[in-house]
Amino acid sequence: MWEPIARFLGPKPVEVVPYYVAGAVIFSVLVIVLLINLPSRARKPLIAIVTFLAGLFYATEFFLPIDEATQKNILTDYLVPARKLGSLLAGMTLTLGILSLVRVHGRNIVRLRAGWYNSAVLLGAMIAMVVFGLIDKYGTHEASKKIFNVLFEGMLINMDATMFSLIAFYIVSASYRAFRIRSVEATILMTAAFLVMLGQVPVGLALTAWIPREGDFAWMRLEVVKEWLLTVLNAAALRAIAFGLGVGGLAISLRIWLSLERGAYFEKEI
Amino acid sequence: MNTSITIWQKLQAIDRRILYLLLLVVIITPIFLPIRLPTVTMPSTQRLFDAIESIPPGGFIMVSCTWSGGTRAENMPQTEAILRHAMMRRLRVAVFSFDVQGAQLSLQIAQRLAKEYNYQYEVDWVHLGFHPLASVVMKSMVRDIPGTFDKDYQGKPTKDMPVFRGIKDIQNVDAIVEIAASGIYADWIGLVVGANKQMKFGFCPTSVMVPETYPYLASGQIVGTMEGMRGAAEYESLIRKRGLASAGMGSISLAHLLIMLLIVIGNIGYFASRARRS
Repeated sequence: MWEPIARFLGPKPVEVVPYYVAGAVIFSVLVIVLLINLPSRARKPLIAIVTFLAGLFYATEFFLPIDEATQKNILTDYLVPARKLGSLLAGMTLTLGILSLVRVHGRNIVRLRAGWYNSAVLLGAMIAMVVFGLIDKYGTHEASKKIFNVLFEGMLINMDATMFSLIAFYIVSASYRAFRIRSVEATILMTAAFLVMLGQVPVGLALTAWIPREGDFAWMRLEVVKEWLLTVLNAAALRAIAFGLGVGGLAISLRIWLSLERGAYFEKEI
Repeated sequence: MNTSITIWQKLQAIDRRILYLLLLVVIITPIFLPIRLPTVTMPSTQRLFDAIESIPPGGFIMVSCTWSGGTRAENMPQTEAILRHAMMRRLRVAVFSFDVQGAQLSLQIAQRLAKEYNYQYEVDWVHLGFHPLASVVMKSMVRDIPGTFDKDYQGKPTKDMPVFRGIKDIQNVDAIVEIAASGIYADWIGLVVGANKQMKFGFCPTSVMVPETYPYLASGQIVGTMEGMRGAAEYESLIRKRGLASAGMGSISLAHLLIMLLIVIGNIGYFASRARRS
């Protein structure tokens, strides 16, 4: 029963690959046309069915007993094709995102709305990264490769790091302004924060480095105090939160899988 | 009297530009005037080091680099320390990423270290590129690693690469180390770690992520961690190769001290003002 499907999804001789690609493109276009023309009332049930089947595949594969010799069940061989299908879908969602971005910001530029130049920079940067990225991967033109390096390593990565490092400045300012010992709880919190912060850095650790690592007073060393605070008190609280999150996550997963989720996005007309 | 009250109030409201300048100074100064600080190795770092150390030469380790330029300061030294240790131990290494930037950045680090340790591509190490949908990839690699990672970062088939000899599924992997700026460890634990009880799973998070990991360290699901830049500095000291993280510890130490000092100053102003009022 599964063999024809496995043959269909399995590797193909090079000479027939173009036919499969052409077939896949035609099939995809037909599916997209069909989906676009689907009446609104039929879209939600379709999404519910696809979501249910996708979830069912992974759940069934996980729970079905495996054959001891092959370490597989009848669905195991389809995990890799399912992964590839997932990557394709991710690629399609990326395309949707790009189309949406171009539409929104293109409109800003055409109508010269307030801040249109920001939209122009965004679209220009996006196009430049795509063009030079493709040249870098498939082309041989050295100068273009250098431009991609400047865009990616010289600009993108450093701008990303700059944005992230700004947090440090805000943390300094915010902790200085907000951390006031106004209550017993605040005092406990600040004491714990100081001990952990000192225990995190060599300068702090040097303060108690003179206390012997072994013996009755070893617990007074900052790294030991910090470890105790983090692994006992903090871990206990986090364990409780993790349990709550786990149960909540399971409930939400079930609701999404069975299309029972309501509110916000889920009740939107599509 | 009015003057003294103003001073206490001023202590509570130092201009933020002065704070920013102070932070900039304490971060930059140790870069030009290095401060040699003693390194105390935390048990979690030691455990990760021991786990990699226990894998025999030729063992297979997978290093996932789910980070981007934003967290490069912490995640880059971690990646370098782990890859360096793996190459020192002559382990077979497969690097990949669930982040586009992480794929590119980890490739550069791996290529540089491969040259240093005379590691041959396809034979001793491989870069498997960027893979979207982390949880789907993890689910798939448990049962079929060559199928899941069928091409390397250049699109070259991995099927016959010597680095993958004997690797079929997760049972053949000795260790996985995730270097990340997110809570992706939960996916690894939920989908992969339980499938091979012998395999070691190490996690290298950014500092802010560290407290979350302690329950899993206690349970043994995470064998060890490298906690932010400090963890990387400890690891560098363990492998006896001081690098970026060790150099950055002076800045981090002074920044921590500055924050504590400012909090103390703010509270002195607060209490003094309150005492005056009452």
